[in-house]
Amino acid sequence: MWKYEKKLQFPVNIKKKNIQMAKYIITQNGGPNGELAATLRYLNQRYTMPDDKGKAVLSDIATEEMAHMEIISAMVYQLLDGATPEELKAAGLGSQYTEHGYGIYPQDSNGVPFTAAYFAVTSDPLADIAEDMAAEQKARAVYENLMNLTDDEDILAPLSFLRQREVIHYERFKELYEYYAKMLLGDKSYLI
Amino acid sequence: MNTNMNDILKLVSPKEALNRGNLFENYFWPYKYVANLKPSNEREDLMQKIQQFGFAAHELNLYLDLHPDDKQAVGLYNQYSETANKYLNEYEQKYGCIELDSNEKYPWMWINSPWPWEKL
Repeated sequence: MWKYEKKLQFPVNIKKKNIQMAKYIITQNGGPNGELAATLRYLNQRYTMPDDKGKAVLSDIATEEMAHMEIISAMVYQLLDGATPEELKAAGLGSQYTEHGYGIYPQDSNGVPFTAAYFAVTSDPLADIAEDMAAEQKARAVYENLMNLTDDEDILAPLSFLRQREVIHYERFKELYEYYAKMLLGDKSYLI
Repeated sequence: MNTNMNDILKLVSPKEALNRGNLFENYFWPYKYVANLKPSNEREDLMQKIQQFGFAAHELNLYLDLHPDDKQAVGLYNQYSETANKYLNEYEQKYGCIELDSNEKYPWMWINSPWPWEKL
């Protein structure tokens, strides 16, 4: 089970409306490399990890990814604060407004809705954790792309925090991968 | 291999860790911008202290998942968690509920704004 804490992991306090950035940033909620895909990937992979270290790492990182989805949603919510339907239309979000109003919907920056097809569960720990390592690197790359699209420090601060979390999660998964490679392959672990 | 936190890891302060998104100096890989959070009032200051120490404890939690025998890291985890709880209790007394526990007051404060996505 989970217990909600009524706070963000990192503060979001965006003073300037920015409809374009809202349109881009939503992909880290429901896009292929976003936080929703991350949390569901790890939550669903954890059951078949071969030992307690893997179960713990996947449970704890999955939980953190939920908090990241909340940060992304808070950013989008605040970036749209005060935007009129006319302004949304001018920024290319007329269709978005038609379907969702000012609501937060898990989708990528083109409006493509979230799908579980964004991640895999094989029950092979090496295959699953190798995917997790790649997922963290892809998410890091997307955060860098987003950071290149703005100079607003209120937006850059949480994006920079979230990007750095991908760096750390990658290191943890890499450590886990090497540990399982040694455990499962022994002398042959140099192969992977 | 039983590596101790001290042998391989240099830690930054909880405050710097939150700004960076990373407690571990040797894993830090910055890009373009690093936050420099400055609270604009007492409420924000207290919230950021909860976030700083909670985050530092969480970083040690992830590390300890892979290094459960690192006694020093367990001690530091407990220390940061305790400090985060101290600030959390202070915040809740002054400004309202963050976590439900067994000591809730009447009337029910949990529903009160601001919710985390709302500006103060």
